[in-house]
Amino acid sequence: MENFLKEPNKEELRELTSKILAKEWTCIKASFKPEDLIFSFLTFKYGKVNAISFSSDDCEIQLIKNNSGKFISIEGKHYYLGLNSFVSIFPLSIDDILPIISGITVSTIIERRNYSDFEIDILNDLIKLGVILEENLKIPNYKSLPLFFSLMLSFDPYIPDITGNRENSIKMLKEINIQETDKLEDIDETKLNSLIYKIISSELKINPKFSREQIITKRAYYLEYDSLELAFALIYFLDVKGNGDLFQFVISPNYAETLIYKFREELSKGFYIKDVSETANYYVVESNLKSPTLIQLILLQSGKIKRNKPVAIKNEEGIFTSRLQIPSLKEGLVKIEYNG
Amino acid sequence: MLDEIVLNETLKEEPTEIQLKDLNQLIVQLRKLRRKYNDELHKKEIEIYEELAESLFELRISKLVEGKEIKGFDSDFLQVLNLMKIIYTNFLSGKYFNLEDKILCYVNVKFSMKNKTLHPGDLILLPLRQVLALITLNYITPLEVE
Repeated sequence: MENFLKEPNKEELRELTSKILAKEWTCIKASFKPEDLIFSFLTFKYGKVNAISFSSDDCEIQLIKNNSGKFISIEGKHYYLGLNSFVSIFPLSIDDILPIISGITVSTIIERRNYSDFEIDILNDLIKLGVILEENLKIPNYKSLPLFFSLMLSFDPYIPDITGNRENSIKMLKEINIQETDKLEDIDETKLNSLIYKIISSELKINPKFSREQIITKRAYYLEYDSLELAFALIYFLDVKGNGDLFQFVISPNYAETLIYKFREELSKGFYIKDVSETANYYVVESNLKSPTLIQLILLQSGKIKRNKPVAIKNEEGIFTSRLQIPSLKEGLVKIEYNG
Repeated sequence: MLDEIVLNETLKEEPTEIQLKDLNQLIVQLRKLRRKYNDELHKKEIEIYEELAESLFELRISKLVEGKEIKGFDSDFLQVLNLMKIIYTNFLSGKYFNLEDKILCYVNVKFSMKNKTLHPGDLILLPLRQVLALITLNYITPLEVE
């Protein structure tokens, strides 16, 4: 059964993946979560698994998450992963760098945690394959995007009045003499410190425990892609469209270009989050942001909701949630009946 | 009878509506013939009818492929070809999510595969030929790029 005594080591976990890839399996049981899906699709790509079930206990491989941590069960035998993401145990190859680094990052976002030591170890191993790992601002793709857009796309940490708000983002930067077109690398240390101070001051309004460590963190880049921005894009499209994009991204990682392009295009105009009301089954949020999970992420940080209920979005077309929020046979946005 | 139907189908641009009752008697006779006789003459007779049936099939298919609506006893049966055309077109034009010749699909109804039960909402990766078979039974739906 489960081994709670020791943290697994890298070699043991790698062997585990080899076990999965070596044999022909029928299916893998997983949760409808980005990291479970990325792991499962990697087994489609390299192994002989050809189905993912979200409910069948028949499957020979099962991805399990409970209060003790994560486990992979193979034919009834449980292997302990600690808090490490499922994706982090996959053999490292140049073809799978993007799925692995975004899978690890998406796991930390959904679970509201930092990278584990094991995951940092993996990211360090990837440096020799071209990954750039640095301590820097936790805002999406500051290497490629103008700062105002990076700040606008910051879902984690959520920056009050700035996340989703183009005008406010530009205005805040102008107050500290940062131009609309400036990237992070264009600004000097004085401006950077002013920016960090502004962000932290803004954060403290909603979270008195917010610290510098939550905005300056380990950041993983590969080519022109940032694992944080990719993670947000994967959550967004899994919510709004369903599994297909995530699958194609794992199978052919250059699909990331399409996803990032569409993600930026859809969010570039900004978005609002207005009233939050609680019903028996949902937190109903008035918003033009289409992703219930990204809204949930924002509202959890601002202390407006708890994790115990799914989020539904209210807009002109009705009230919608997604399969990431509720068990559903449909993917993409699911219209719900609501008598508010 | 079958030769008249083939001739009629050849002469008309639109597909004719073929009723099975018009062919039933012939089918019964040919079955008896196959069972009863084994000589060259009767074999030749059956061969001629097989060729006529094949010609009718090809005529009907060509009209279906041109987008014409088939009516009659074979309409549901020939819709499989329409489905085949849709799957083929969608696959080659990037409408499906694929890994080589396999397509990612949703499970629509509970079914078993290699002693494992899959449920509605599960995902399965299948080669083209299996996709066609299982779509026909409404067991699966390919995921589409929107």
